[in-house]
Parts: sequence; structure tokens; C-alpha cells
Amino acid sequence: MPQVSRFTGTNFICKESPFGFGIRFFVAEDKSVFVTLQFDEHKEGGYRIVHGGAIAAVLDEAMGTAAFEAGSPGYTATMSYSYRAHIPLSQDVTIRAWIEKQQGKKVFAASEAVLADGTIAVTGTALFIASEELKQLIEKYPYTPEDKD
Amino acid sequence: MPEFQFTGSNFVSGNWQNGFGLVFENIDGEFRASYRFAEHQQGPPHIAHGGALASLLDEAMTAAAFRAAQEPAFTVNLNVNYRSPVFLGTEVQIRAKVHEIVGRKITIFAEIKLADGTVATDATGLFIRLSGGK
Repeated sequence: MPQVSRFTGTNFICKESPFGFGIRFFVAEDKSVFVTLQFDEHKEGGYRIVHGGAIAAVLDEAMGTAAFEAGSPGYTATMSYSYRAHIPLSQDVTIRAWIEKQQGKKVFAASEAVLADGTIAVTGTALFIASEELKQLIEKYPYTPEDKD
Repeated sequence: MPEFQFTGSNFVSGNWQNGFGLVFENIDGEFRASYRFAEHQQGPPHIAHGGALASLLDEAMTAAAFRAAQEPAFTVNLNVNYRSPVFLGTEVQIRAKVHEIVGRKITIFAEIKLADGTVATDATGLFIRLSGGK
């Protein structure tokens, strides 16, 4: 059974809508993370479709959570997204993220957003720089969306 | 013919209660805005979420793409580099400018600068305009 990640997420992603996206990520046996969500009208970009920035934000957080699950949470250094298909509002989208490789402090992650019919709508990659300080902070105070600082 | 207007997305240009409430100024085709990130846009402690920064850059680039193409355009590829953290509550400047247009492809540069002029985040975007173009 997949467990919910101990990393409860950042304000920007995990607070309830309209501010956040109201999500928590699940962890699969292979340590990849996933969640299925629907984007509401507050995340609209083009007419009735999800804003590219909103998808980028959720995939960034998913990859960051995968880095945490791999034992190396860090700060995003670069990220890159390819948008292949529009994601309509109010329809199920499955987000998946996993770690491709680690070289010292560099953590390379990949992610995708998949529509209900199996279409891969967006793919993303990111490089995180692992931070021991951030790891300790998360272990000590797993962020909660209610946290003020 | 009246200029094609970019009205902004719900997500970024919507009012502050649900969006970021961002308002762009168009200076000779360069789209600029200033912004202060708030608590609900936090990623790591005291720092704006990378996705929030990417969202503003994407929106700024979309505004520039719309103006250059005189029609809607969609993000096809977005690359973002994070050079220094953006702390919550500090004022930043966002700007986006079209680099080139080739057929349906529009390439755009955007950046977020701190008050002292440091480039905190920069991005390139590839956009595809809705119709075939010229």
C-alpha cells in the first residue's frame, strides 16, 4: 500500500485552494511519488486549461518530494518542462516524479503529468542541490500548510 | 486595427485572493511587473516556491508572446534557472522580452531581479502561436 509522504509539502502547493492545490503526495514502493488531482478554475491559464506555471509548480514539488524520499531534499537549481497536450480544468491528472540519478549533492529528477486516457501532457526534469540543513529542518519540522514560517 | 490585448490568466493575473494579482506594464514590447511574494507562495522556509517564480515568468512570457504574435500562443517548453533565492516580502522585478519569431515558434527570455539588481531566476520559453502566422 502506498504511504503518504512524511514531507507534508510547501504552502504554495499543499495549502487548500484557492492559495494552494490541496494535495499530498503518495510514495510508491520504488520511492517514486504520485498523486491524482483535478485543477480548479483558480489555476486557469488559457481558456478552460491549466496554467503552464501551475503544472510546473506541482511537478517541481513532486520532484522535490521524490528527492526528500530518496534522502536528499534540496533546492531547485534548474528545471525544464515540455508541454505536449493541454490539461483541461476539472479532470483527473496523475502526477508522477522519480529520481533518475545522484552525483554528490546533485540530484536529477524527472516527472510527468498524465491525463486519464493515458496521454502524457507534460514532462519535466529538474536538478536539485541537496541541502543537509534543509533535510534537518524537514525532519525536525515537517512543513505543514498551517506553518507560518 | 486595435492591438491584441493580453488580459492575463486567472492563475497569475487574477486578484490577490486567488491569483498573484500581477499587473504588467508594456514598455516597448518588454513586459515588466514588480511583485512581493507572500507566505502562501512559500516553498522552502522564508523563500518563494520555485513553481511560483516559474508561474510569474511563464505569464510574463505569455504576455510578450501575445503582443508579438497579435494572437494567443501556448507554452511548449519552459526552462528555468534558479541562481539565488527570493525571500518572501522582498520586492522583485519581473521582465520578459521576445528574442525571435520563426514561423509559429516564438522564443522568449525572462528574468526575475532582486532589488540590488541580482538576477535571481532566469528563463527561456518556447511558445507556439495559435494560427500558422504569416
